Amino acid sequence: MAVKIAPSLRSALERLKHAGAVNGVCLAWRRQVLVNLLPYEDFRADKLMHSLHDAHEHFAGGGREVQTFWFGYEGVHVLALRRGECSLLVLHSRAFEADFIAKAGEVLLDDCQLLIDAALNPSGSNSDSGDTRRLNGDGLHGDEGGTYLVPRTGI
Amino acid sequence: MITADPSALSAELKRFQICDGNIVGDTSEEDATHFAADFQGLRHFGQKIGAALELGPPWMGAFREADFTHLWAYEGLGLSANDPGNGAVIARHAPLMELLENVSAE
Repeated sequence: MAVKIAPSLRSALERLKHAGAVNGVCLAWRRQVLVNLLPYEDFRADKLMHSLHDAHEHFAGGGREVQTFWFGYEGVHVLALRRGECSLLVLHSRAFEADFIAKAGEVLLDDCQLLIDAALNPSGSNSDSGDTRRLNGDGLHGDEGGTYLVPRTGI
Repeated sequence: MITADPSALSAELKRFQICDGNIVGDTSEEDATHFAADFQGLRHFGQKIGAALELGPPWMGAFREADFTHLWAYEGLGLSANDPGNGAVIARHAPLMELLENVSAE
């Protein structure tokens, strides 16, 4: 029997661990941690993302838009990527894998924008809100020219 | 097997030496001043990030913009601001590992 696996940010980030010797991954929006898959407690992930956000703001103050930070520590490297207001931080062991992990992380950030939006706006999936309206009753004759969702059962 | 050629970027690099807390560059004093400012900022945030995870200070730091890449690394075991190291900048989005190999080869 086929099992339907719902896509999620967590599973997307788990896949990034196949990019190399990855020791942990953390995704944040601004200063807010969305998913912490680091081998550290949440309060440390919060502190980490605050420092990373401060670093971005420091350089942005001088008109610089830093896309990537990379630091080497004893035994591990920290690679931090930025797309818009989302930050992806990866702990990895081998320096020579940094460029591939960065590429894979950038693709992940691009591909996961919808999942990130859903995580930030859980009520956004409610079709009764915004410009998207569910088709029901005499909805075919909507008065505002909005976009209608047609239920699969109604086709 | 294809390996990165550390000499491929060499012609475009501006190189700097970190020595006794001073930055010495191969180009202009203005370049050295800019590198020093970026080095200090990057090292500061590298220390904060390292402190968050109890990793200690960084031995290497880099940042990359769309058209600029900056990297530095200490030469030996010393990790303080006065320990010797090397750095480089390049006016493009450069591969991090290739840049690290260039800087470490000095």
